[in-house]
Amino acid sequence: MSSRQSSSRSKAPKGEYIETDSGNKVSRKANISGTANITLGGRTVIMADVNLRGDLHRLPSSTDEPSAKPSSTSTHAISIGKHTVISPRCILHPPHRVHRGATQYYPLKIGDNVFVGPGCVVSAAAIASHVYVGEGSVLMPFCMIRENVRILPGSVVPPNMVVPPGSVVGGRPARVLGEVGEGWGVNVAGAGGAEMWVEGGDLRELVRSVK
Amino acid sequence: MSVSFPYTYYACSCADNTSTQEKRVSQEPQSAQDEDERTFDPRSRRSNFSLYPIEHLLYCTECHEMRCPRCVTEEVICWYCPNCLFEAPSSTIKQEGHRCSRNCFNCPICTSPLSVNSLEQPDPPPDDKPANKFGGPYILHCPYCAWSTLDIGITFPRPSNITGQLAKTLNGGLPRPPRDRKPSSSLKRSDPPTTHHLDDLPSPTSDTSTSSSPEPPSARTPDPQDRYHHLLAFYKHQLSTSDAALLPGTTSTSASELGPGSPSSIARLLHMYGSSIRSRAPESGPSPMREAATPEEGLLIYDAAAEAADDATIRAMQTTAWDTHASVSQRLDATNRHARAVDDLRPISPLLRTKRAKRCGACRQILAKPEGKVTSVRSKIKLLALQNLPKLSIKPLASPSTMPPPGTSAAGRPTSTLLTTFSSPTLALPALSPSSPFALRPLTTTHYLLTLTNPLYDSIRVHLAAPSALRGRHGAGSRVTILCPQFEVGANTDRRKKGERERVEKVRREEAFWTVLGVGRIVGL
Amino acid sequence: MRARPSPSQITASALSSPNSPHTPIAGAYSRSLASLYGSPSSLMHRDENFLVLEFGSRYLRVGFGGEHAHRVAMTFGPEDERRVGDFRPWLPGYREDGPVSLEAQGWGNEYELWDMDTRELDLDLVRDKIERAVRLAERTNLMLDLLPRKMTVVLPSVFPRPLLSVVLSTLFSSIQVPSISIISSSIATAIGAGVRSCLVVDVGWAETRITSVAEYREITHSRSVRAGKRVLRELAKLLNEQVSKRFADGQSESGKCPTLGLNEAEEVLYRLGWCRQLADARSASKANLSNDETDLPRSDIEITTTDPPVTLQIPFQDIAAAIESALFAHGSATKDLDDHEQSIQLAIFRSLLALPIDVRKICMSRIIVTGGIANVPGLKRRIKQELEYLIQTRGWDPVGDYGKGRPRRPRTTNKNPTPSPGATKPTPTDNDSASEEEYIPPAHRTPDPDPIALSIQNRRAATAPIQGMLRLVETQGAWSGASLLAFLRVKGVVEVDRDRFLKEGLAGYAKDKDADGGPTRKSFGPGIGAAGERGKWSLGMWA
Repeated sequence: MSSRQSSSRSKAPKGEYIETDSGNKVSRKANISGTANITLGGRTVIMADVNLRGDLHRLPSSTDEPSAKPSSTSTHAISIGKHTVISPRCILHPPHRVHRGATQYYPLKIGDNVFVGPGCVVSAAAIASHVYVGEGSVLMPFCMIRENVRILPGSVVPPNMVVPPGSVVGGRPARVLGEVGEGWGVNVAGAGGAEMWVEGGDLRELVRSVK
Repeated sequence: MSVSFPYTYYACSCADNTSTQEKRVSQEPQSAQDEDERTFDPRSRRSNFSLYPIEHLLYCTECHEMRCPRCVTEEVICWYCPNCLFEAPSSTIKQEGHRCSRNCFNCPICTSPLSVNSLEQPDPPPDDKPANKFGGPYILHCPYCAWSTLDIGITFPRPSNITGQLAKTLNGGLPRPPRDRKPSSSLKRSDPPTTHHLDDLPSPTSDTSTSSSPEPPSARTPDPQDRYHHLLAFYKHQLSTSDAALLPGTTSTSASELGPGSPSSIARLLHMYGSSIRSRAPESGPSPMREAATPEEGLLIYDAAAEAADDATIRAMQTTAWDTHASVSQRLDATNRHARAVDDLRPISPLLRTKRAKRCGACRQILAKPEGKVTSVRSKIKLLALQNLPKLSIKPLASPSTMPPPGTSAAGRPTSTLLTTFSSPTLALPALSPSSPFALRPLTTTHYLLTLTNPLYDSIRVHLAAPSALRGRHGAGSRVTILCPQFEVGANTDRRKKGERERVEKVRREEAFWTVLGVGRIVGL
Repeated sequence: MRARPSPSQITASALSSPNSPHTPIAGAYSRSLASLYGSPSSLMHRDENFLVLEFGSRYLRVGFGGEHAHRVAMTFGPEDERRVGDFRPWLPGYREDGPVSLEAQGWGNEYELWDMDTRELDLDLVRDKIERAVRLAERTNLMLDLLPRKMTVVLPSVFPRPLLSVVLSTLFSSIQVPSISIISSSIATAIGAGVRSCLVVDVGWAETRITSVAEYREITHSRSVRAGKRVLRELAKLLNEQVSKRFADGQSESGKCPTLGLNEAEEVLYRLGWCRQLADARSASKANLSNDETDLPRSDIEITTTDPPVTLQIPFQDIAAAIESALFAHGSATKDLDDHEQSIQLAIFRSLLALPIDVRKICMSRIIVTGGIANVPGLKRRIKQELEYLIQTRGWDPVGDYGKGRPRRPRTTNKNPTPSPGATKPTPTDNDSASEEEYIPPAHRTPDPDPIALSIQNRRAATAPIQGMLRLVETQGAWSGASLLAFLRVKGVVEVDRDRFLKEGLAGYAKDKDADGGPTRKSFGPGIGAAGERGKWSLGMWA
């Protein structure tokens, strides 16, 4: 069901990660299906044992015949922005709903500088930029996470929930618990060392450090 | 942030400015001396109210002080629904109870957002897509816990304006009886019809046999909102017709009558608003203000009907299962304050959220001002403490997993804190519970590294201090040694975005008096 | 409706008046007022915010005047005291700290906003709690766009002054309202019930307060510690007994017996709390002595806070028995109890007894049972029955037990010493038939009924107060009463002005207590000589 992704990317014999031309780092141990339907924005990290279900993409509504190649613009199953880190054991599964007896998949969009913690299951419709998803969270189908959101570890974001910008959510089911401060994601004048990245901030340095 | 150990908190000094201690000095003379020398104690209950993560702090560049959420004043820029992100016009928000008046609803059981689903085709499951093609009755359905408005017997003929439809329907599907109002009362201003969805009737029944024979709602206690407006109309009527002079107690005013509800004060007030009839002679005046006498005037007696209602409630309690009764948190969330059973609950429209500008409480300088658009996350003004105060971060040295991402760290439970004072900010360093990999262990030395980042363009001098022994439940009695109590952090060298950083090594030594022998001398350093 | 001047106007005139030389401590404040509000005339057309706050021991109810219910009730539990950014309760694997032992002195204290015993109270902590609660309520529920013009605060009528000072100063600093009016909770309760005289029985958290109100004036006040805290403690005891029994039986495999605290007890109270009728309780207590309770109907109680969750089966009767023993104290004799822990019914009875008889007959037919525990189904009926029983057995006799002596009079068994309202209602038309039978000279004739006099008489009769019978009246609650007052713009006597309070504190008010006792003390007309009159203040019953 999922093919080991190694074909279209430049092969580097050493190291755990394969680095693409645009600087994406994809673990050799990641399970990626439907490569053609996946877009990585550049300098994005996909870590080990991540499942990217690009094969679950939207079918043309006129015919039920699955089209393997991107014939139209709407066949993106998963698109991920820049400087985003998908931690080990995550599953990115495009959301779907049953429509007239047929399962219809919808694209899953993830913005820039998003950190998805280990072991998350993501079926969101969209995750905006500068979002921090804590370890072991479940983002159920069609939820939308707006900018500057922090999702506490172990949360279950219920289906269709819209998380407003700048909020902290947690719990099962998740609810808005508070707000991130004004200083969310601001990294002060530091480079390297322990402070090379902060939650919700620019993840460029973190991406660079992944080897 | 507090979740991942280790974390730092900054103490804002605003709590000390408003202290009431000086007023009580007379009662506790002995405490007057240590008033000034009182150091900040991060373990006290009060400290929870003045410790903040640095991300939540602002900095006033006029006062040169950090400003925590309670020493700023806020101004609302816009209101919006957190669910549909629709900006609510400020003219209607108060009437709508500061809740979304569109089709947003939350589940009263689990707080998840509800979705509108069609019931037309019985065959497909109700989580079918609510397309416009589907007609027929609609329901609100919780995709998380599978609750739906069918559970309270409500369906909607149209998929739009659910708020309005819900306001007209009682639990059980009966239409809400029209509100009876006094025709003369000028209640329209105070009772906008859109508030209805806030205030739901106590449902006619709490027995589980669903709507087989629901009592007519009139037999039950009246809607509190109706009763409130009856009372309001009654008082208004009384205020406008009563003559103040007839009231007892008007003539004699003494200090003992100064209760806020004393007849004299009420009378004067009545007089104030009923001054048009003031010219009449007292003998021919109308009767004095009386009390409400009928249900139409808002009087409600605890009578046989109410007792019967209580009996029904008790019977229902006895016969039904535990989770058919609403929990404490469900009741607190519920818009229907009289909900007792789960069947009494109603869908909750979400409270609006606001975007706010913040001003310094002392000099009123604007410290933060987000852009007006709901979807924009940018700020016009943002004066952060992060950019003006040294940032402190602390981590264990040579610990197994400090490699980012630290999302794998155990959700430890810091219970005791070590205090370091850094001029005005305060750093609280937690010790972890024994299960944590960072936990303090008896007779072992743990090293911590404190890193200071100086965002300023001037160098700063740092003095570190620590209590000689830890208190608290975990790691109590552990000794703390600071290897470098004084040092200087260089200025932020401009443009290269590379703050000068100094590293201070701190070694924490432990002395565990709770071990069996109690001789925990450790070779330090 | 007449236009009232805006507070900014008053403030401005007060500031400029030579009578009241203010130091411009609030200079920044008044500037901001002017800029925010604009001209006073524009203010009149704005939607005004009357804030109403009701302080209880565990809740702070906040809302807008003119609405029937509060917007939000802020709680003061340990979870509300967390640091900003501390979300540990929401993380997986979080366990609360174990509850305090049931025998501990301060059981449940961590859920309180304050303790009325201020000797041990950290006032600054109270200030912090109020400040955070008000700020949160404003942020999440009120969302004020304009500063409120007026604020009404509902407080218990017996209230420590240090706490009063803390409440006022915190409110003035966190919500910058020009003046705060204070109203007593019992009066607000009476207003919320639509009566002018009543006996308010507030079964609250720390204590049950019994206040008799006549013509909106508080007359007597008594208290008993039998209230919510005690109820929850009894319930927690019951739960812990059951849990330990269960663990002793070995029904549960995990080793450690959990201790259940206030949260679990409250959950049981909310879901299954009830009160029996007096007769049932008496027969049940007799039956309990004789036979075993194995065949009683049991209710399942699911406790999810333990690990693993347990389901307890507790006899339904026991829950009522626990609540009743906390409130009605049938297990212990009156003489064994201190004055402050008398049973509720006895405290009510004594309050009634202490009233003058004409006030008593009004008040006893207007007993208002309110407070959080009053929502327990069956409680109001039980209180009524207990009172009826007391009145029936003792009569209105202040001596409860004559011992070997004999009462001077035989005790009355008359439940309604004064005629019921039906009897007082006159039937004025009886003379038609009489006039037809025989001739009566006009001078001796009963005059024809005067329609005007009749209507007056009818009206009087209709409005003749019901009195002398025991009757319970429901109230909308103190918050709603205060909301009514605020919306009707009834101005309370205790109005605390911001500038003056910040300058002088409570001491400035206490000083004036004697000064404004005169009949021309102050007019409530708002526009008349505002500056001069604002010099005099009173704290009323809180002085």
